[in-house]
Amino acid sequence: MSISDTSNSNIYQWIITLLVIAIVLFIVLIIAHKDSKRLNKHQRPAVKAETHVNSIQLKKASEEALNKATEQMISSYKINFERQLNQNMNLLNKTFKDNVSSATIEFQKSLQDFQIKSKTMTEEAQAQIVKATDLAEQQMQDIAKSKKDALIHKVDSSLNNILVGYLNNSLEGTIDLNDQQDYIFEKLEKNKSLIIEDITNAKF
Amino acid sequence: MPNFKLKGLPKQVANSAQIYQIISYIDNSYSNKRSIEASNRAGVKSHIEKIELPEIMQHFFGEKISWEDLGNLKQELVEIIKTAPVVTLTLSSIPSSSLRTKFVAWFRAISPIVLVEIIVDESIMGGVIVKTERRKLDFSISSVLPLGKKSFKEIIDNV
Repeated sequence: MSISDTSNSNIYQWIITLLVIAIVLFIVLIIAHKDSKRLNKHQRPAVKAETHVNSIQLKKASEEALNKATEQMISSYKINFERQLNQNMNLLNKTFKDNVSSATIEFQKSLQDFQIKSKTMTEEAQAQIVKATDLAEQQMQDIAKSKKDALIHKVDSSLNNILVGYLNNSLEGTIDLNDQQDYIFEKLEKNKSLIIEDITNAKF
Repeated sequence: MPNFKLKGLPKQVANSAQIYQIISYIDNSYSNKRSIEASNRAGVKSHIEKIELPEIMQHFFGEKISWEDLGNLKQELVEIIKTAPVVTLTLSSIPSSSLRTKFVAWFRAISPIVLVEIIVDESIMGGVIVKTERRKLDFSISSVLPLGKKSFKEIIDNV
């Protein structure tokens, strides 16, 4: 039930109550009026005055009762209104809390999603960095190996020239064939039998 | 029958190239001789006034060698080129004339007609490589060096 429906229901109740009170007062006044007529015809002036006083008092009491009922109605209406207001406020607070809670949950969820996504992105970035680093290292190793192989090939292909040049520079050209005679002829003499065998067995 | 018989090659003649040079001298001499003889028969004065044996011939074979001997010599030289054993010496540099003769003499002591070819390869750094028709005897300095290609590669690999 909504707040407006509850307020209308209370208003109707109080209107009915006021109508009842008004009807009762109307009946009382009619009776008093008849008594007054009867007294005017049969009673003495003292009684007539007393009746008038009673009428005034009754009117005053009726007005007081009406005022009191009005005040009670207003008070009740006020209380009901405050209660409804409190209920509505509570409902609003609850709704607001629910909304805030829902928004908070959604925010927390989105925050968690963002954290997860951020973590994933960070891991992906780290993986890419590691991959790029590995690739760069591999390329560096390939380049180093290529240079090394090229150096080896170059040195191997010209090793004799390098050694000859190195020795010639070291010995400053002092190796002369004449200086090698003893060594050469010593070797020839030691292997003379093999040479004789080859020469004498040659086709001639 | 020819009187001349080659007992052996002189040690100044080491290899087949020099033998071919001698054969060329002989052929030129014969050509000159025939030219002079033809001119004489025609009564024309030849532009070649005198036939002189190449000096090397006289140096090697003496003054008494005749034209017939030259013909025989050519045949024997051709035969030597075809059949003589050949020894190839690889040296690190060009030998002097005396050392060259010494090498040839050493081998001619084994065989009087052996041909000694000498080639130069600086990469052997010293010593000699003797190559016959049957084997190769490597007495070069490079063959006894401890540093070879393989060991150099191993050194590079450990850098």
